[in-house]
Amino acid sequence: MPDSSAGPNTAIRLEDVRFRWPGTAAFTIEIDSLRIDEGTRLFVRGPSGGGKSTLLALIGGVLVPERGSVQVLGADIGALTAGDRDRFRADHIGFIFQQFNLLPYLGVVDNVLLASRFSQRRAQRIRGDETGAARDCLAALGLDDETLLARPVHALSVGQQQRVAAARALLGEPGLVIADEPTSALDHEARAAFMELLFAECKRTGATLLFVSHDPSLASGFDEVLELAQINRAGAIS
Amino acid sequence: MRPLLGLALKSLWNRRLTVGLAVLALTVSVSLLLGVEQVRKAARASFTQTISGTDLIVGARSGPVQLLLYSVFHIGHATNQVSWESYREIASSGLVAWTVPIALGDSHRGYRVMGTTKDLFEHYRYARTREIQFAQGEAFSDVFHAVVGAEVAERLDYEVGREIVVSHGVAQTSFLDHDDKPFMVTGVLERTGTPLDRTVLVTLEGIEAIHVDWQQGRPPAPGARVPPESVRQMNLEPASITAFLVGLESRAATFRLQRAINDYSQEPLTAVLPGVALSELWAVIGTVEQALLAISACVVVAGLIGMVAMLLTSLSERRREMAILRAIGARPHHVFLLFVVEAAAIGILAALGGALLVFGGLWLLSEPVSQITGVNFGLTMPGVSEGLIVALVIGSSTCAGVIPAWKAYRTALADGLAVRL
Repeated sequence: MPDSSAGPNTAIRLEDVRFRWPGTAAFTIEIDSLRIDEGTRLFVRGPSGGGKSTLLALIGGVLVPERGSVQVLGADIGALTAGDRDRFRADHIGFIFQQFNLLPYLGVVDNVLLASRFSQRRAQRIRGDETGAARDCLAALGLDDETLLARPVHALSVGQQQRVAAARALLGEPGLVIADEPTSALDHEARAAFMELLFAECKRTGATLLFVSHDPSLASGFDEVLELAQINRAGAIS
Repeated sequence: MRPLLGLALKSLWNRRLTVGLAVLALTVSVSLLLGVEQVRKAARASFTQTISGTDLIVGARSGPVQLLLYSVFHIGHATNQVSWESYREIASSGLVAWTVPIALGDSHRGYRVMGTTKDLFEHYRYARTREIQFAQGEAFSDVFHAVVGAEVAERLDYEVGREIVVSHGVAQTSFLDHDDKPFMVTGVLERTGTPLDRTVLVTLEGIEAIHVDWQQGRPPAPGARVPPESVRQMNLEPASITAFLVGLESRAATFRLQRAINDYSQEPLTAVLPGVALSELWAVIGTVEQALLAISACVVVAGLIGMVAMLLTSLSERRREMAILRAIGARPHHVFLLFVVEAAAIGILAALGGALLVFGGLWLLSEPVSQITGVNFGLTMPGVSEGLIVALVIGSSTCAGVIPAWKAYRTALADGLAVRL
């Protein structure tokens, strides 16, 4: 249930967040305030090494801030136990990375189904045939060719692999999709097609999209565009 | 946990070459261990069943193992003889059902010659209940008849009807032959896996007959020789024998008779229970088997180390995989379990493979091996010790999996979602 202080329509809220890696003196993340409404498509631009991945790890509940609060979909991440954070991530967040998102030893459909393997919530939201739901997700992202689905994942093109990853991130309709440079390994056409499909699917499921990239040319089509350097004082200093 | 099992198996299959080699190494070591255990048990069974159905072995006073060694295994020499009178007196006791006298001391081309009676063929048992069978011919019916064991017949290429000469003493090359009184082979025994295979059996009277003209261990002067024809007319009852086997009317009387023989006032004698003496002897020989077992266990440990090394090496290339699992909500302990399950699966595969190899191999080969060596491998079915070995291998490979699993757990925690190389 959404926390009253986070507001019913706030997907992500960071207040006075400080984080530094163990053994380093300087903060990697120093964000005073950040608030993203539910259903927003947010583009965060930042240079490589600017703390983007660290920010995503904080929101994903893999890391906890040294100070301040991180609230995601109404849950106070810092207040959860490590196990609850992992469960929360499994239930509510879909991740898409730069590349190599797929387990090489699983088939295309099984890779998508991984999302519901570790989350009963997402399995429940599918209500019924999980394999069918996974195939629907793949089809919505333009992957419905049976011979393609039967191929080992390493035999797919990078663009196809990223769409499989997106299908997994969207399976079971999580409230938040986090994409970390998902198009950097794609060529221009594949990139445009991927963005279009990703937007459409996030809109259909109502998921908030948090998209980070160093490439400002991708920013078109997003509801909001943020420079990481503007919100992260630590990033601005370095 | 079910998704983890599926993931672990698919991950193993994906790396089937390296995993297969680790499984193979462990399989070979497991089959070595199981094989040694099988051979150990079969050898023990074969050894301790060298003589069965006999209640007591009686000889001149000595240790039980020594008596067993010279009377049954034909190793070493008797320090003393048993007088014929004592033998007859004990044999005629009401408790005694049958006796088989044994007279040793001569040889034939390196094989021991044993003087005995036809009762041996009737009463001697080995491997619990097996009787002595004739491959060819029959038991002796004359003073100068002989029956040879399977190995003697095979090595020396003897058949029924062959004439053989017994040498005096048991030295490999004896210069004193009883060539004036040859024996004729009337029977060849089936292989038994006992020392009988390497023995030439002759009549007790025959042993007496070839020594009848000898004087205190020296051959007769040329003029004093007694030809075989006239020997037959003489009294060929021996003055003494080396030992004798006793079968009782009732097993319950075993200890009573044993004590009576050990306390026998006419002559210092020793009576032993074959089973007890065999176990005592095995305890001495058995250490070799223990050493073999220990060596095989070390080979299994080497196989496990190989598996751990393989899993540890795979860690660096699987960091991406762990980051993906973490991103979809797998907990660090899931990653830990993934590696433990993989190690356990390797252990199970290797244990089953090893068991299949050993028992399948035994099933296929036990018959020919038994015929060649006389050792009965088919008789020992997989038992508690084999189950224990299989369980131990699976258990220890699972435990060994904790090492890479812990490393993976630490890596998964430190890496989070991003792989920092």
